[in-house]
Amino acid sequence: MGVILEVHNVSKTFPGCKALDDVSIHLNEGELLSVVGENGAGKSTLMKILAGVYTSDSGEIVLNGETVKIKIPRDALDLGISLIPQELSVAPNITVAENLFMGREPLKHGFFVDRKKLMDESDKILDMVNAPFRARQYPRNFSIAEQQLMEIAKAVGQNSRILIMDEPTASLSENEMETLFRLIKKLKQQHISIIFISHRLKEVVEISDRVVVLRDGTLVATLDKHEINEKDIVTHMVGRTLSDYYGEANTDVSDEVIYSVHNLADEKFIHDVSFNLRRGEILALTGLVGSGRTEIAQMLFGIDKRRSGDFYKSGKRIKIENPIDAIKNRIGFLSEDRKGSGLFLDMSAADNISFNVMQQISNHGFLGSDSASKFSEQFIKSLRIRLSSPKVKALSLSGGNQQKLLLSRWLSIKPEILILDEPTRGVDVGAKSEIYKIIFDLVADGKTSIIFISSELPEVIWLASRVLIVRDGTIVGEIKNKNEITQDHVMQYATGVKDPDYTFTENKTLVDKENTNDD
Amino acid sequence: MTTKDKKLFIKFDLQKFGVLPVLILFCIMFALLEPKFISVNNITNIFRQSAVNIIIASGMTMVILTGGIDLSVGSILAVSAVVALRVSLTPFSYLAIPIALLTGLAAGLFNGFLVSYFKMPPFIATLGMMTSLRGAAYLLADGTTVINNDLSFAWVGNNNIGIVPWQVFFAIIVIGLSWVLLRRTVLGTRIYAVGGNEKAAVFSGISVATIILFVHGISGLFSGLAGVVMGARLYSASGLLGVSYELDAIAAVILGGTSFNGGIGGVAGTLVGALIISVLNNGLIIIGVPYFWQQVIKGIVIIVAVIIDIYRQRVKVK
Ligand SMILES: Nc1ncnc2c1ncn2[C@@H]1O[C@H](COP(=O)(O)OP(=O)(O)OP(=O)(O)O)[C@@H](O)[C@H]1O
Ligand SMILES: [Mg+2]
Repeated sequence: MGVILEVHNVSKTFPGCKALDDVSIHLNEGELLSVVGENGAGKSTLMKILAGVYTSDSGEIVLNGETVKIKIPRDALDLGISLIPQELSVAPNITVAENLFMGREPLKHGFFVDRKKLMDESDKILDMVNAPFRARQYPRNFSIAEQQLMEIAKAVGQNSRILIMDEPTASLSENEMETLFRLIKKLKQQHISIIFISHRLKEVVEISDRVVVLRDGTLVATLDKHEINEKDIVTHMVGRTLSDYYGEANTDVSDEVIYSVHNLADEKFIHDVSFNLRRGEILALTGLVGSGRTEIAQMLFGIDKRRSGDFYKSGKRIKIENPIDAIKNRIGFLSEDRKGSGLFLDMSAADNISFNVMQQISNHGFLGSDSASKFSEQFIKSLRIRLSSPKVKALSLSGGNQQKLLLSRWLSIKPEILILDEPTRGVDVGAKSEIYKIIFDLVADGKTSIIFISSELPEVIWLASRVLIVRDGTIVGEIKNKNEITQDHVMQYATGVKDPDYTFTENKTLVDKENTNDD
Repeated sequence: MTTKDKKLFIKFDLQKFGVLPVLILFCIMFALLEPKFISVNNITNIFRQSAVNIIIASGMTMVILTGGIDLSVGSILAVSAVVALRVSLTPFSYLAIPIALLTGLAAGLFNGFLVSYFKMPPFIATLGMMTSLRGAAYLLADGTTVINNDLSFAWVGNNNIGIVPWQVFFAIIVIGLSWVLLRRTVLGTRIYAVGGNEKAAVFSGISVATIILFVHGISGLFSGLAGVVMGARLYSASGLLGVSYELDAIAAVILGGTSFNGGIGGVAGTLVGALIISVLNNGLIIIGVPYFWQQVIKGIVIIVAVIIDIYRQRVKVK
């Protein structure tokens, strides 16, 4: 097991921000090296330099004892380095095979694509990674996990010796994660080296051979196998000990039903969804990825079209046909897809944060040059959003910090009902605890009630005052008591080991009256 | 600051100025080749010649910022000009300007309606309108030129306030208002948002249809104003006015660094873009370049300027 890759004294400066400062790391053959650090510590930047997406300002990269120049992504691929980026990019309109071989399709007569060879080779690679899909399929409706697998297959197909995974587990469910880890083990046995980035420290501890910690663009620690534990990692990451990094759950929730959903169904998949949300409650909607959680959440917000379903807020029937209706009724929705349906990448961080309250912070529709920045300050501080100025484009922020922008946007409208779909996706431990604290604060005075979705079961267990489990498009179980919310219990419902036993008791005092304007 | 930082700093600032250096370069070049170029008279001329394009391109900027396009601006200009002239020949000649502006606004809103309500691609919707309104302009003018030698609003195209021609003054007002609208209002932010990420805008409760309707309405209104200016300058109007003006407007917007995909750019760049086009038009004539070569050079300049801009943006992230 020799050293395969060495990175010497790499630095990288962006306008207004030193992302990496004299960082040196090395990678052994067949090992899994985890790179951890707070949001904006420089992890993705370092990986992008290895993959030729960025070029470093100074420093040296040595591969198998030879100094190499990696200027463009092609160089990295030719050297056997593949990056599976934090934000996946799968072309949905061409087949899996064409995705796998993009740019290096097997040719016939030197010009035509050899379709048969393309498909056969692709299927072979897909078998190698145990993919549940085939070469001829279109990745149109692929889940994040499947898209990821496709990216891994691409790397394997190119005989990459080094595989870099930037937060591959951020949107995976427990099962999908297990599958991924099994695949990683298999790749390691083939002497492929893996660099792994994650904010879920439990899994980092579980699978890493070595861990390096970045803080503010510098390397602060390297932990060998026997030194790896969650507490030390956190201490190195934030530069101080974080004792209680979670906050207090609110256990006494009032009985008052603030929001009630009846017989929600869509055209094909979601059916018979009814539930109540009580004032000040944190209600978790959980289930495996693909169970229908996100679809339900989106219908509650008027995004996905529904075939049937009534909503009642404080007993009154309300109309929610689109997000405008929802927001009028003081309902907020944080989408899981931050790039696709959340961020305005080319707008400033401040504008992204204050977007939903712009009318309120404006002077009759007019904004000062600093209105948005001033308003955003409180959130930048409390969520520790790392940026050089509130006026930088959202594009230039690290993944976790982008997530915090979106969360701030929805927190800023002080919603009565807040729907959070994967609120802490890609967020570091420190900020996670901040977010938990904010969530607890929101519900503490009963002004806000929360429906949230998370693939991270520990998070569900920590936050939820009640859990509804979704499977095959409907609610199959309910766990009412906080102390009965356990990983096992949830998984039994989610996987179908336990039979559905959810019953919905209707709230008697409903007024069947259209009422679209609040207060 | 180390030298490295300094270099980055300069690069970063250049980014902000967009194609302004190109404009300055051209001015210096023409001035060296032909000193007449920088006479007060000629400079006033350049501004006067660019006024109409600046006005149209301001509206175009907003449409393109939402990810759309408006091909009908030249035709709206013609219709509005003819309407203005027709009204000026009636006893209600004082209504000429308001009615012409309303005509432009209505045509623009109709564009917006086609795009937002029927979900038509803006290219197609405004292409159709471009053709229809061109025909309408000819019809309204009875196929000839409507002339009024005693035009009540002739001052718009021919008088000055101080040394500034009224039409230049209008162009400045339009650019200024557009800048304030885009950069200092909630509505402006929403225009950028719709162009940058429409889905996210929907998720944030923005009525995309309203925004689309608005930018097309503005584009129509500004085209109407441009029509008034043209009619006033010529004391006449016909169905021939403003043919292919949409191309100059689009060129100004793109030269100015506004992204064709929407979400990035602004009217400050558009102003510079429009001035580049006018300076080229004017300078090439002054130094005596043959007409056909003027066309060739103008096209090449647009392409090269945009290539430089794209390249500079790429350098920034690398
Ligand atoms: N294209 C860019 N332009 C300007 N600044 C950038 C750019 N990309 C990254 N940065 C800055 O560099 C720093 C490091 O970002 P990076 O993406 O490497 O963080 P990270 O460690 O991957 O964080 P996360 O855990 O949130 O993904 C951040 O402060 C970020 O704002
Ligand atoms: Mg990252």
